[in-house]
Amino acid sequence: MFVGRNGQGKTNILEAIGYLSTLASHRVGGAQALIGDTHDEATIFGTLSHQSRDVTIGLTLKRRGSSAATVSGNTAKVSEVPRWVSAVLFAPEDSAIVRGEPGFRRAFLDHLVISGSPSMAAVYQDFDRVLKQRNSLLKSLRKTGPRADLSTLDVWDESFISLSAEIVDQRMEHLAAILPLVNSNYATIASGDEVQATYLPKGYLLPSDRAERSKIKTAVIDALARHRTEEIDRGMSLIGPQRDDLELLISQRPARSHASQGETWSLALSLRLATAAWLKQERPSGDPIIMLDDVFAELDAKRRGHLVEMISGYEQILITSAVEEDVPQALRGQVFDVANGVVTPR
Amino acid sequence: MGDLDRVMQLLAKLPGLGPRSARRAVLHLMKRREALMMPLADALANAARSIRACSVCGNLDSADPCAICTDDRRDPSVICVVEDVADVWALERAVAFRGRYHVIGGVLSALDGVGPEDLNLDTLVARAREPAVTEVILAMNATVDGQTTAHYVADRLAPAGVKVSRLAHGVPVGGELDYLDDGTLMQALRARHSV
Ligand SMILES: [Zn+2]
Repeated sequence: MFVGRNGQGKTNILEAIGYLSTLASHRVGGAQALIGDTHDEATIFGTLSHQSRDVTIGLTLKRRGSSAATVSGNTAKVSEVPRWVSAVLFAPEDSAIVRGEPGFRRAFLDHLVISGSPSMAAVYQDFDRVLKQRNSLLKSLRKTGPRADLSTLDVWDESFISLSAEIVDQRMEHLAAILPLVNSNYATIASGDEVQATYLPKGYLLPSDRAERSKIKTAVIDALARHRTEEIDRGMSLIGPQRDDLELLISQRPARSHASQGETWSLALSLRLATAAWLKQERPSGDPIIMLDDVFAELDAKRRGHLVEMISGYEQILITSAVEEDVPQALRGQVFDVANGVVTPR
Repeated sequence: MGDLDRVMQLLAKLPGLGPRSARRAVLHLMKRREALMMPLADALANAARSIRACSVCGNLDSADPCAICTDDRRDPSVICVVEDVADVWALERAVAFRGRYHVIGGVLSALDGVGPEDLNLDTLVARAREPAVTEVILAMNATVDGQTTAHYVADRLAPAGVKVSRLAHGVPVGGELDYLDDGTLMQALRARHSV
């Protein structure tokens, strides 16, 4: 448990562990914002212990150039890091999964996918690269006008299509895997209302909730062909997993527009708890690290109680709180004071 | 600016060298003026004068065409396409390939403003059309940019009617499975063959 006033660096600790587990921050997009203003790079070191095995992971984010990683002192690919670190973070921002912009739901799905299938981290990295290349190419094609040579767009499209299909396929597969757990959690926390979650492609249609990868591929190919002129006119990618959404329904009603404050939190907690429970069940390397970033202040007594009950069996729980008394008695373990970026065991 | 400062400033522009290591290198050179600094200066001047890109394959050599292109013990029917001259050196060190090379000089990258016209591709297509050539091996790096470029080159070579192959990616020799990254393992599984 990390206790300290706001702005002292508590969340940093959880954010760093979260970054190792998914190569993304729950607070900011992109690695640049994680590097101190006066520095050129930021490094995270984490030692993971499971049974008798210790592994130390190092990850350096750079202002210029690509990140670098080490595993027990040896150079490793950055996309390898999530394979070693499994964590689920609960944060006040989580209500945005239910009520916020589609980007929050995509981030939720991508965290789920990378935690469940760490080899997907490399696919996401490749996808990000291809998306940037493709956008940059579309922008230059817009300048060139109708005489533009489209042959390079064709080859980038090939990569874009197969990576897109892989990501969409994995998002749908993981979503289907946790949905029963989301429902059982929601039933415990809130009521008997049924939660439905549907993957929502933007600008293309999938034949069903669990389409085969080849069918996803065909759908993306068709959509790219249909939108090609528009993509060139606007100089950016308009189709693909970077635009898709996840539709959450509570009792058949869209949660984004209809969920009350209480329902929003019940659903957000259920989604995270389902992720944790599923990882516990699927990953051979032990329980995920549970991290609660100042969430107790957001929750009423009933939801607090449910959360405590459902996570208290996990091997390791890290909690941040400005006020120690906000943290339920059952979860108060070793306390660390955090002040001005310095962590002191109490 | 003093002569020493000039040398340090230039050295610091080399990949892998910063201002600190450039200063150390200069001090080291000064200590070994006769044994190291003079021969290095001569070697650099000679290389700068004589080394050029081979007009056939893009390799660097003091002769044009280069020594590999003119070596008639090498198999003229196979061309191995690489991104960079450093890749030629790597393959030559391994003494694994006895055909000829083609250096395209980079990868397609809209982000860096590199399009097909910036790569050494027209000469490759022309070479592939020569009757003596039967196979082109694409040996680009296993990055998305490298693989997308390989794809593009394969498309460009299709009309030439030669066999186009790619390097396999997989388990390195002596590699222990436990230490391989997931991506490499998956590639190796996909590229498995029956024994
Ligand atoms: Zn040559």
